[in-house]
Amino acid sequence: MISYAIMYISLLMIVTSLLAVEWRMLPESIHTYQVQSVLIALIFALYAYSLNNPALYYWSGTALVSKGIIVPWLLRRYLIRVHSKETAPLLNALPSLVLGIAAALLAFGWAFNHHADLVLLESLAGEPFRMNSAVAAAVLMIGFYALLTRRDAFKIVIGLCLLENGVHMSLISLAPSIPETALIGVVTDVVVSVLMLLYIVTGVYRSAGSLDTSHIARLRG
Amino acid sequence: MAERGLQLIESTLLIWLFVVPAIAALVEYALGRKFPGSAGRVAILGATVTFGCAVAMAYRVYEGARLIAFGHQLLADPLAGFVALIISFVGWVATIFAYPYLRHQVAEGKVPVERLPMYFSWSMFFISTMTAATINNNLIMMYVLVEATTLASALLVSYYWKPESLEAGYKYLLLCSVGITIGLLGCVVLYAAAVPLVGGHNAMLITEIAKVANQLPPMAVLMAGILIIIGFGCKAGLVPFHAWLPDTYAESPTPVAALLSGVAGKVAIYAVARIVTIFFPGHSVLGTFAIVLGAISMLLGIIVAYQQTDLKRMLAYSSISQMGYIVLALGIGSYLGFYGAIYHLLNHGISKAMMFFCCGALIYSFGTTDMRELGMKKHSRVMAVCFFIGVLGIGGMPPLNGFWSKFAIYVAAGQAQMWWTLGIALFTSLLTLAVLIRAGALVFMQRSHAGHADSHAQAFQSMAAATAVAGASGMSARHSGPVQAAAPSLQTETQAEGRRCPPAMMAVIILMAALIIITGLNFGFLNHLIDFSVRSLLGQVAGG
Repeated sequence: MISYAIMYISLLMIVTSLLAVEWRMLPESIHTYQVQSVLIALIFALYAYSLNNPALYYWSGTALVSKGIIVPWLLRRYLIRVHSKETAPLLNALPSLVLGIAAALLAFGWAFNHHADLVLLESLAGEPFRMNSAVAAAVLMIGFYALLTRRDAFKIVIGLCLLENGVHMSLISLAPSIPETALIGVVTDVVVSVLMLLYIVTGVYRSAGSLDTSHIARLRG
Repeated sequence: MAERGLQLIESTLLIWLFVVPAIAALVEYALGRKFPGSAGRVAILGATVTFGCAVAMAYRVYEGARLIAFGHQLLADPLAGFVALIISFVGWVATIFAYPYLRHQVAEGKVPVERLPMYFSWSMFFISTMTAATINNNLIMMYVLVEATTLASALLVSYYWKPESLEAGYKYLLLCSVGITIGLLGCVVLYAAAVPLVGGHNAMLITEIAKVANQLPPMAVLMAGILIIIGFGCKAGLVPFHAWLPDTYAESPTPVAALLSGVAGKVAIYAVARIVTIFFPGHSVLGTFAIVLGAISMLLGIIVAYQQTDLKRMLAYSSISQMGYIVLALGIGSYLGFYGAIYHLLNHGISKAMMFFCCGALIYSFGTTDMRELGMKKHSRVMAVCFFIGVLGIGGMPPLNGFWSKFAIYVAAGQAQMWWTLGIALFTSLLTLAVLIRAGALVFMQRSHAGHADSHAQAFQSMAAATAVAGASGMSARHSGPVQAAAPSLQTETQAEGRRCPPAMMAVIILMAALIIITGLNFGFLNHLIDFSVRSLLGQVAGG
């Protein structure tokens, strides 16, 4: 029962990722990201319950606080200082959506078929772990897709957040027994890196007057 | 391996190694609000103590001890001791160098004086994260610490807060964060694969994973290895992932560029060496992957370096090329390969940092790094000599240090019968020599005939001044006042002469040039330390 709940919630994560990337209004995009982060926290909590592993409640709590509250709050705070509409991406809305879905499906399919090769235990090879690692791969791929095709520096930060969500999903689906010592470090890094990026992005905006990263290409690569 | 697993000693030295610079950073930050003018003194003290800790640690490790702390979370074997020594040394001299350098920039109005403490605070954090990464034995923490080096240095890269430096900082932070997140995925896959064999908490420890390296599922190892090489290779600036590197090195303050090029990239390579070499015996694909990446970086890096007109950019591309050497040598995976990699890690760290310091001195004197413009100026001979020692060292001329490490790499490639690798390595070495000598000639030898006697006297003077303070680093603190006061009077001299470098900066450059020669001699102590480091890597490879 819980296993099914986890599977369906994780599928919702793919939807929220696509929405967060494709939605051209940045406040709504941040909102979608926030929803996704809450979903991750929910999945962690469900795992904690079904595997009877109290350490995972910490995971759930830290994910909720860091990704569900702090990071979206930071994003909104800095968004006020810049503008709210995204710089046009490289692709139009429809081709972009189609390409994004295609990339996500490819990653999903690969991870779904190869999940069993990555783990030693039979118990970890079955559902919902398999579905979860496939979802993680899809979210990861969507994050990459955003990094490659978006030109708005703010949107790229959201892409990085998605990428990190994908990695955290894989963490839980591959290694649900991970100790909490590493957790603190990983979460701190994520929050600080987003903060730093936003700080510098705001500086870029103030000096260049736009968030269009294609201007950044004027520095020789 | 006779010396492996002999004595495991709990030692607080490991904790001091990264706590001391962190404390110095906090003190700098706290004091900086009230006394921005005296920023940097605590940092120099902290960096000196850190270097002292690293020397003590390297010595104990050299004597055969293995130091541990927090259970096995922190571990110093010879390799860790050796890399920590390089990092803390370059960190130490970079801090000393930054003291007069940044004060000059404040005097010139490039940086407001309130931002001065921020520099020293962040750079001490930067050194702290790097030293912590070297003694870390925890797989996931390796990601955390390498990412922390990026975070600590991001604001240093954007220090001048100009459009160019902001964009460089943005690129640096974004691309390195993305790269290292890929590295984290690799670490996670590896960890997940190891959990059933050694248990949840032990699977974090790299030394524990090494024990079960050959029982892990091959698919997981392959995927993890490639993700880790790509992820950490991004931070090291290997070729398809190098887009951030030239801008970052060129736009950041020169002492930061020296730190980034000299040691920060090495930390990433060290992480790869620590984690991925465990799996070389069963998975030759990983070695081949590293060799291919290394070879591409070597060749492309030096070819693009040739086209640069800016000295800092040229050095940045040359760094990519030299990183390629280290990764390639690691990929070969034999004793000599590892020997060459670790030795070259030291050599490139010293030489490239020294050349960036020369860049800093040139900026100090003439305010530019454009090679053609610099060619019009009259240069200090001492610095020209030091620069050329660096050129010949990196270019691999005997008897300097770069020759021996590269020679080890050639022989390793030959022994492994990788002839194309050997060919690329030799060809790159020739190109490197040509590119760097051309750069040196463009900068230092255009005006050498003009004002011969005059420059000779000046060179002698600065040499005498520099040798007088060599070793007495604390001097720089007291000298800053007079230097600032003297600057306007020096400006009255001809434009081509430029401003005379303060003795602390020259002392750092001369000290490092001397080290290039000394490490080239490869004394017993150094050779043994490298030998032990290689053995600790090989011991890891052998599975114990």
